[in-house]
Formats: sequence, C-alpha cells, structure tokens
Amino acid sequence: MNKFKTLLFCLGLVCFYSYAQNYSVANIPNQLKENANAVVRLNNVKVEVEDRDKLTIYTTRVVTIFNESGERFISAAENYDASTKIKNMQVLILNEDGGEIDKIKEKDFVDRSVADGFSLFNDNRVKYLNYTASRYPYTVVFTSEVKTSNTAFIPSWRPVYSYYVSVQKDIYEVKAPVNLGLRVKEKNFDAITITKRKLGNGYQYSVSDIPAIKPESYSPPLETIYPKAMFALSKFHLEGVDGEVTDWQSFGAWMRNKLLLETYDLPETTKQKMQNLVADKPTTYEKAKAIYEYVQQNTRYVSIQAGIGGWKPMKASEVDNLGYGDCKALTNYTKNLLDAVGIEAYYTIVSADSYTKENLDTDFASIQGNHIILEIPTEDKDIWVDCTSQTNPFNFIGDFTDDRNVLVVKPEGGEIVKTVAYLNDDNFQLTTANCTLDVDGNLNAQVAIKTKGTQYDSRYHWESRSEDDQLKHYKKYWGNINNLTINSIALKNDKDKIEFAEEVTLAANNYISFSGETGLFVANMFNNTMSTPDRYRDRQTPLYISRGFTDKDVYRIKLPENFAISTLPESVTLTEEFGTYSFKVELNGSTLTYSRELSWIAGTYPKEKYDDFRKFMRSVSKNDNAKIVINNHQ
Amino acid sequence: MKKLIQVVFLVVFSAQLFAQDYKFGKVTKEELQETECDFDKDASAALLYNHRETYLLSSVSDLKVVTKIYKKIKVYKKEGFDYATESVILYKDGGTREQIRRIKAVTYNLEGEKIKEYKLDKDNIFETNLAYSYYEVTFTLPNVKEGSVMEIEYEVNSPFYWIFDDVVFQADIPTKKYYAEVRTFEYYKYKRSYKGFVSINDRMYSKMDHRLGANVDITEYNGTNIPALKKEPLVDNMENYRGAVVYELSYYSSPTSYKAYSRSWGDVAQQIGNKDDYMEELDKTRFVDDLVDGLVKGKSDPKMRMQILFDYVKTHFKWNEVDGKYFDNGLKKTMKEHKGNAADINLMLVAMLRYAGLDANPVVISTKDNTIPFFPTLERLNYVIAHVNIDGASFLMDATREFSEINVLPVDDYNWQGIYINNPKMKWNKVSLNVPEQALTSVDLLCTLSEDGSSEGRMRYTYMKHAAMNFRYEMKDVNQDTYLTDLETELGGIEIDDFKTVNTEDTSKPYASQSFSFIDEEAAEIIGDKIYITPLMLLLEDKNVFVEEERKCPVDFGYPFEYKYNIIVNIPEGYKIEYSPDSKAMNLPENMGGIKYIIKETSTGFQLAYDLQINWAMVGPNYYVHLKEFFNKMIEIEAEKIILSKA
Repeated sequence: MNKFKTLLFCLGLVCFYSYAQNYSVANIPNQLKENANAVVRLNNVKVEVEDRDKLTIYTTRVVTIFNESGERFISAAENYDASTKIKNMQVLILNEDGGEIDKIKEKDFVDRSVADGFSLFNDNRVKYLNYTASRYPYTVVFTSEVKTSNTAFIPSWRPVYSYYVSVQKDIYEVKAPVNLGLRVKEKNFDAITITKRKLGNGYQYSVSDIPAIKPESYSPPLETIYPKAMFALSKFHLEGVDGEVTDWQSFGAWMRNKLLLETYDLPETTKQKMQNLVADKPTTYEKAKAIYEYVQQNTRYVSIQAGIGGWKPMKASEVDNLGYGDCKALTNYTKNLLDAVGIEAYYTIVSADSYTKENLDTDFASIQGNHIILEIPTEDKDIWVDCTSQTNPFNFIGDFTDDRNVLVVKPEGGEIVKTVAYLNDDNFQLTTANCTLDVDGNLNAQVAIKTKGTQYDSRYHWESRSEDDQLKHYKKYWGNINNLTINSIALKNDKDKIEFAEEVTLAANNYISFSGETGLFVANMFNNTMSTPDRYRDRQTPLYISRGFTDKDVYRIKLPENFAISTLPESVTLTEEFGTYSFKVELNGSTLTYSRELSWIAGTYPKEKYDDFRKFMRSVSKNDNAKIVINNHQ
Repeated sequence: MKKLIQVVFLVVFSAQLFAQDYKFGKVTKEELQETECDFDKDASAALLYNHRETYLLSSVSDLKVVTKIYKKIKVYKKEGFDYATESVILYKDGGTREQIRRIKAVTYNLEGEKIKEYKLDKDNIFETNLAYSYYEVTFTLPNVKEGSVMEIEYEVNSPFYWIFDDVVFQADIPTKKYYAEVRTFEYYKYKRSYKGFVSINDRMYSKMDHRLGANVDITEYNGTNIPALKKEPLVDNMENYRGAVVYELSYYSSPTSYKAYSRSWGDVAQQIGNKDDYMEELDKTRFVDDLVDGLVKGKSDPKMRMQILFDYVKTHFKWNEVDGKYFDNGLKKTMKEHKGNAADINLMLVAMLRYAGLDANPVVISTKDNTIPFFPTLERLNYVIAHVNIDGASFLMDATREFSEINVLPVDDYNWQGIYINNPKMKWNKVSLNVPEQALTSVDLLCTLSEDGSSEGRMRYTYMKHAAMNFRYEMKDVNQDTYLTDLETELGGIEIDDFKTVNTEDTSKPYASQSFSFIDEEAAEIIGDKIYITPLMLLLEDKNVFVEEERKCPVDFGYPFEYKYNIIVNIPEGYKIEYSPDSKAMNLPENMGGIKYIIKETSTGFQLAYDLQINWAMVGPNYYVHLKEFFNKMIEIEAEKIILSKA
C-alpha cells in the first residue's frame, strides 16, 4: 500500500514536471511570437455524438497571453441553457515557467445571461472566466465538458480564426454512430498544412505551428482564405424535434414541416383586411409592395432569442397581435399576409453581414446562417425584402444580405439561390454644384447629391434624423471646407426609384487662400479624397473590392470679379483593372466647369495589384486636391 | 452595506394618502394626432408626462422605500421606438431583493376615428439574471407605430430604504410635463442640490399624516417643456449636466434628540478616516517592512524614496479595473496576489510610503466617470489616490495605471476636488487636485524639397506629461509594422524609415520620443512654373474639431497642452522665395491660450517656429465662440502658402 502511494506521488510529480516543461513560455518557437498577442498552445476539441440526442464536447484549451490585447483569446467560457449542461469546467493559471499559480473552479466563473445588448429576452446563459493577471506572460489552461441534447449544431473547425494570435497545436476530433450519417465539408484546406485522419466513425484534423497574421485593408474576409471544416448529422435532434436531412431540399422540407407550418395561423379578419388592402392593385408587384409597406408601418423589430434554439418563429397570429417580432417572426408574418392575397413568398435563410458576403454552401446542408429574409417571385423578376427594416424601400435589401447564396424554403423543399447583387455602377453617386466665389475668397454654393444602390443605403437614413444631426453630418462630410456654414438642407427619399436626393446650400468664408495677390483654391470641393490606402511593407493578401461604385461630379464655379486664371490644370485619366478616374477643368468666360469620375470595380485581384491600387488612390487624392491659381488682374 | 445602515427611519407613511394627479388611461385624440413636439421639432419621441412618487412604507417586520413611476410617452418617429422598451435593473442578494410590482403598460393608436388600446400581456414581461446579484426586468409595448401614445406604470419596492434616488427631471427626449413628489419623515432633514442647465419649480410643505400621527415633509417638483439633454463631444461626463435634484440626508432632529450626518467635507473626511481601512489597516505594515527596507536601503532623499516606492507598486501590482475607496482584498492578500482594486493598490502605496518615513496620506475622490459629487457625501466618492507632503510640496500619485507618473495622474482622476485624510495628524479636509501641468508635444522637422515637389527629411516628436502618457499607451504592445502603416497614412501617405523610440516604457524619465526619416512624394504642388508649399509641411491641421454653432457643456480637454514645432526646409537649387506669409500671433481671452507663427527666410530656404498653447484644461461654454473662431483662424493661418519661383 505504501509503495503504491509513493508511486502515485511520483506519477503526480512526473505529470507536474512535464506540464511545466510543456507550457513554459520558453518552449514557444520564435516564429509564433511574432505579431502575436497570444499563442494557442493547444486547442483540443473532441465532439462525441453518442446518440441522436446525446452529444458531448470535451475542450482543452491552453493559451499563453503576452499582453492585455491577448486576453480576448483566452475563451474560457461555455454557453448553457435548458438543453445544454456544463458537466465541468476549470481553469489553471500558469506562470512564465509553466508552474501553477492559481486554480479557478466552475463556481468562481462569472455566470450571466448572454445579453447581446438588444434582445428583449434571451434564454441562453454563459459562464466565463474573469481573471486579472498580476503580470505577463501567463498561461491559461481551460478544460470543460459540455453535454447537450441538440445535435443539430456540431461546432465547425477553424484553426485560423483571428488576427494577432498564433497556434502551436490544434486538434479537432468528431465521432458519431454511423447510422446518424455524419457529413463533412472542407474548405480552403490548401491554405496551410493540415494533418487529416479518417476515423472509423468520424474525423480528426490537426495543425501545428501556424504563425500569427496581421489584418490588411482591402483584403478578403478571413473565412474565405483560411481552412474551415463544417459537420452535420443527417439524423439529428433539436429541442425535442427530430430532423432528417441529407441535402438542402430535405433540409428545407424539414424546416417547413417542423418549424414553420404550425405558425401559419393568421386570423381571418387580418386575411380579409389584406385582401381589401390590395383589392385595387393591378399587379403582383403592386400588391406585394402594399403588403410590405403595411408590415413596415404596423410592426417593429424586437430581438427575442428563444424557442427551438432560436430557429422557430413566433406564430403569425402573435405578431399580428403584438405588432413586433424578430427577423423570423416578421418574415414569416409577411409571408402569411402575402399568402392571404394569393401571392407565393418564401422564407429565406441567409448569412447576413455587409463585408463577408458569406454564401451558404451549395452542396452541404446544415443549420447555417443568422438572418431571415423573404423572396417574392413576381411577373418579371424575383423580389427580395428584409422584413426587419422599418425603412428599406420595397425590392431593396442593401449590402447586409445582397449577392450571396441563400436557402429558400419552398413548399417542395429547400433550394439554394443567389440574392440580388449591388455592384459597380449600381452603387452610383452624382454630385452637382453651382458655386460662386467672391473677391474676399468666400464661397457660396448649392449642392445636389443623388445616390443609388449601396450608396443610397448608406445615405437615406439621414432623412429621418434630427436637423441637428443632419447639420453635424454635412459639416463632417465636408470636413475639408473650413468655416463651413450650412444654410439649408432638403432631402428626398424616392422609394419607388430607390434614389436619394440631397439639396444643400452652404457658404464658407475665406475658402480661397490668398498669398499676396495670388489666390489658391481646391476645385474639388464636395467629393474630395483626403486619405490614401495604407502602405504594407510586405502585402500578404489579395486586393479585395467587395462591391465597387461610381461617383460622378460636375461643379460650375463662378470666379471672383477681376480675377483670372493663369494656368488651368491639365486633364487626367487613369485606367486600371480595378478602377478608373478622370477629371478635367474647363473655362468659359469667368465660369469654371470641374468634372470628375471615379469608379472601383468589384473583384479579387492578385496581391501584387495592391501596390498599384495604392498608387492609383494616391494619384486620385493628389488630383482631387489640385489647386486652381487665380490672380487679381486689376 | 452594513456600515450604511446607520440611518434608521422611525416613522413611516402609507401610500393611500397620496393624491394622484394623473389618471391612467386618459389619452386624448389630440395627443394621438400630434405629429411633432412643439418645442423640439426634431424629437423622435417625447414624455408627455413623467410622474414619480417616492415614500416610505412600513410593515410589522420591515421598512422599505417605494417609488412609483408613471410615464406617458408619445412616439413621433421610428427612432423613438426605443422608448417603447422599458428595462429596470434591480438588486437581489439571498432573501433581500428589490422588487418591481404592478406593471401596467398600454399602447394607444388612432385607427380611423377610433382610439384603439393594446395592453401589455404579463407573458411578455421578461426577467433575466445578470451577473453580480443584479437582475433585469424588461418589457416592450405592443403595436407601437409612429404616432402611438404609450402609458407605463410600475412601482419599485426596495428594502435599501437609506438609498435615495435622484429626482431626474431631464430626459434624452423632451418632457412636456414633469411632476415628482418626495415624502420624507419630518425628523429627517435632507440637503438638496440642483444640477444641469434647466430649472424646475419646487414647493415644500409639511403635512400631518393622521393615521400615523406623524408629520411628513413633502417636496413637489413641477416642470413644463423641459428640453432634451443633447450629447456634446469632449465632455467630462454628460450626467453632470443632466437636470436633476440630488438628495442627501443631513441631520436627524426630534424633540428629544439630534444627530448630524455629513455636513461638511471635513466631516466626510473624518467619517472615512474612521473606517477600519483607513485607521488600523493602513498601519498594519508588518508584511511590507522587509520589502520596503530592501527597496529604500541607502536612499535617504525623501523624493527618491517616493519615486522608488511608487514605481515599485505601479509595476508589481496589477489593477483589476475596479474602482474603490475601500479595500477589496486588503493589504495582506494584495501583497500575496499582487493585484487588487484601486484602494488595494493605492492604499498599499500609502502604507509603504508611511513605513519609509514619508508624510503619506490617502485622498478620496470621485472620478470623472462617476460624476461630480454635488455636496459633502461619502456615497458619491468612488476612488482613492495617494498624497505625499515633502517640505510643504504636494505630490499626488495613482499607481493603478502603468504610465501614470507622480503628479501626472490618469485624466479621469482630475475631477473637482479630493478629500484628504490624514489620520496621524488628525487633519481631514478638502484639497484641490490642481489642474494638471501643461502637456507638451514638440516636433523638430528638417527636410529638403526637390524640384519635383517631393521632400526627404527627418522628424522627431518629444512628449512630456500627459502627452507622454498618451504616447506610451499608444506604443504599448503595438505591432511596429501596423503602427508605422497607420502613421504613414495619418501623415498623408508618406514613407517612413529608420524608426526609433525612446523611453516608451520608462516613466521615470520625463519625456518619451519617436523619430524617423521620411519621404513625402507630394510635399509641394507644382502649378505652371511655380512651387506652392504649406510651411507646416506634414504637420498641417486642416480640420476644426469644433463645428457646432453653440455649446451648453464646458469643453473638457482633460489637461492644458502645447504643440511646439520647429520646421526647417531647404528649397531646391535654383529657386527663390517669391512670396512668404507674414509672421503672426493670436491670443485667446484671459490667457486661455494662443498661437505664434514665426516664419523667416534662411540662406537655404525657410524656418517656421510654431507654438500653439491651450492653458486651460476645461473651457466654459461662454468661451466656446472664442475657441471655435480661434481654431478656424488657426486653420486659415496654417493653410497659407509659400510660393517658390525660379531664381
């Protein structure tokens, strides 16, 4: 017995010793320290599906933190709710040499609601580590075991998921009984070296020694460059509901039958009301537009994260009664209103985000996406609407959900379709101005701006803002003009043409800078490119322009009396693969006409092009700031 | 909490006595038809009526404070929908909990000629547990549209009867009518202070509560057309300027006894001084003895001892980002774990300094994010710093932040005044925190201009006081490449090389600096056969931060500052200066600041000595027009060009 005890003691010592060796900061290869605020020493996630409604996730995550910014990579946290239980979780804190200095048990984790800051109610909770380190570097060893009856979401594997963090070792393993049909989809596996093992009943992936990466502007979203493996079970369970899905068609059918159908309970009176509302509208387009506008006027968006893992909408009758709902509820409600007047419309799942434009994978069906929109087929085209928007025009979804693959839930099942894209010339801005300069150098101008597409999207909300906010906005927008006074603002949102018109009259004292008898001023007053893209000593990622745009400017500038131009700037035209620029100045009597056009063309270009892009924009900035020199000839 | 329960309310009142001057459910067609607020046409919503009653209530076993809230809200625009959601954060700890009761909420819409009502369903009231013993009750009104009128009513019962909420009469939206009634027992006298720019009528009277056989003091507040509080940039804390009445218990006086609570800041100081943390604990220094002995061994100069101990505490103890005027860990645990709240760290510093023979004492303050304490009170102070007196000179220290220095505290500390607690000498009084010393950013720029308009040269920035603190924070943990990329962009797309920094971590040195060489491809503009240059070169400021026409709150710069540039430019061979702007100077009133712009020709080009000084940390709104005009003129001066032509 005694011997046994000694043996145990020795083992413990050996364990501890090897621990200390493993996670000492000295054991981190130099290349992993570069650009890193933290190093993931080990991220080991094991997902074990025991049954259709039994899943356990074991996590061991060891992170060395170099500084305060590195603390966000600790990720010692687990979510839980009615169907997800934390079986155990614990943290050890190690010092620089890998020796244990602190131990934090589950009960000492902070426990709170997953308050996202805007949800009215959220039934998810989180336990997370809140630790103040007395010095850097230190290492956090987090272990946890979580059990859930939901097998619809199997965590994806993304070893490179953020900037300024390197990865020493990341191992992911998933196992499931063969009869549940575990499927996998691998993306961008060529980007780094991955060791892959096919297990009898699952998969194992691992990577090691991945250096930290730095963000670069105009670069493609991380998830489109680095590896990701997604998993799904063909037979799964979600909050008391079984599902069987092998492709998008069956996924859509499951969603409709199990989550949507029973919410189709619009009261007769409302159906009747809708029929009356559209009675005099001649076309499907007109009818659908009237109903969308009815929803905008009679409901508002309130986030409620509850019910079937956040995937089942509120009943149509409930939205009808309360006048609010989340994206699922409002979309489903609008669909029901359209049904009532005989217009087919489809509940549509999308990954919403302006920048990443993430596609649902065409050939891999699983629960993906984070937002719901509506597709309405009409006479000549398919219409997309976002029912959570109080203000979008009918047939306009903006950059939040445009140009990507989405899942449309039709009566016959699901179908992957691409949403409308707003690209290049679609995103148009025309600025025209009539300007007068007086002998004291003061500027008076009437400016008109028209915008379309995504440029419309980022502008039209100013219409409903307070006068005070509008004033501040224009002063900031034209921050290049000192002493600016805004005299009047008239804004018009044409929702039928999806065009926003701004008319502003303004004045600025001393716009012309006099150096003796010579006056200088910048002709591009109202759309001046002040900054140029960042310079990278060693650009790593391609140049990525997500949507592109076209700006046109025409200003007529009346020169002060008795002043004349000595030299007119020469016209400039720049043409590149990713964009074009031109400007010219013409003189007619004492009036100058300044014309300019700048376009960016959406696309992903080789990284070598980034330097050209920067040069192009520097040249644009320089030409935008070209001065006109005038002389008093009296 | 226990320490606070010294205030005991003896006699109590009943809710039934109060006359309500509103009636729930009285919403008129006119209110529903209103399309804008008559005194604020921009408002997205307005409080048509905001009503509050606060009174004490007793039962056999306990005493509680009840606050009844009634609001009638009109929504004009979609942006006003936010006011349709009400969220109340409450405290609970074991059996002791604040409770919300009798929630009633109705939306009214005009549909055709009819007023339709939509009641809040009890199922749509959500309760969520937050962290640290708080919970939140949230509900949102049904069927809210542009034009809706909403009524919300509820009451909050709190066992923490000694905690008195401020009477806040100014909201973020306009308030058409405000009424509040606060009832207190006649033997308890409160001090009241008003804050903000808007005023409100009040009326005080006493009344017999017959059923209780006791008098109550009633204060009624009546306001009409109270404007919305609008946010302004560069403000210490907007809440300091929100219209409200702040209550503080002053004394207890009955026919048979009298007890004063806090009356002067001296009293408050003494009150804190009597707390254990400031009495015995601070001098229990056994476990720092050896450490301090070792640190100051052989150093007899008190200033040197102070610097050593300040640097030691600052670098060896990590602040957990929690404010505090009382210990969280206590000295012993803090010493063991090397971390703690503001009191743990700064009181540790005081203890060590005292052990080392210095005249060191705590100064208790209210930080900027905790608002200004409007009158002498313990509860509104949230933080403690260290004070040392050496031969009559004062030194203030805050060891929680790594880049703070002696007498250069984090900007958040410079709020109003501090409470000096000198128990050894039995001195307790209010002390000025002084305005921070002027921060300095000086730049030397030397460059050579080429005929093609490009320039090459070298720049050196030197930072002192708060400018050094900011620079050190900026450089902390930063990736150098990323920093340089941003700096290149900020300076107009130049290329930087040979980058060096000095003292970015060592705060015992009075300055920090960065220097680099640069190439600017577009330093000058060539038009025709002439070259146009801005004499400030890369340092040109072309935007005024002050764009608003008027201002209600003071401008808070945080500290006085100075920018001092020395720019030397060599012009291309074969060119001469055809035109140069004149040297200029311009001053703000009352020595608030000024600018000097002195330009002279040299044998190889020109030299500009530029000096901008702002001598005040905070500038009142009455000077705002001067400030705005000053910066406009500054931008005009800076924009003037030197014109070069062929010699």
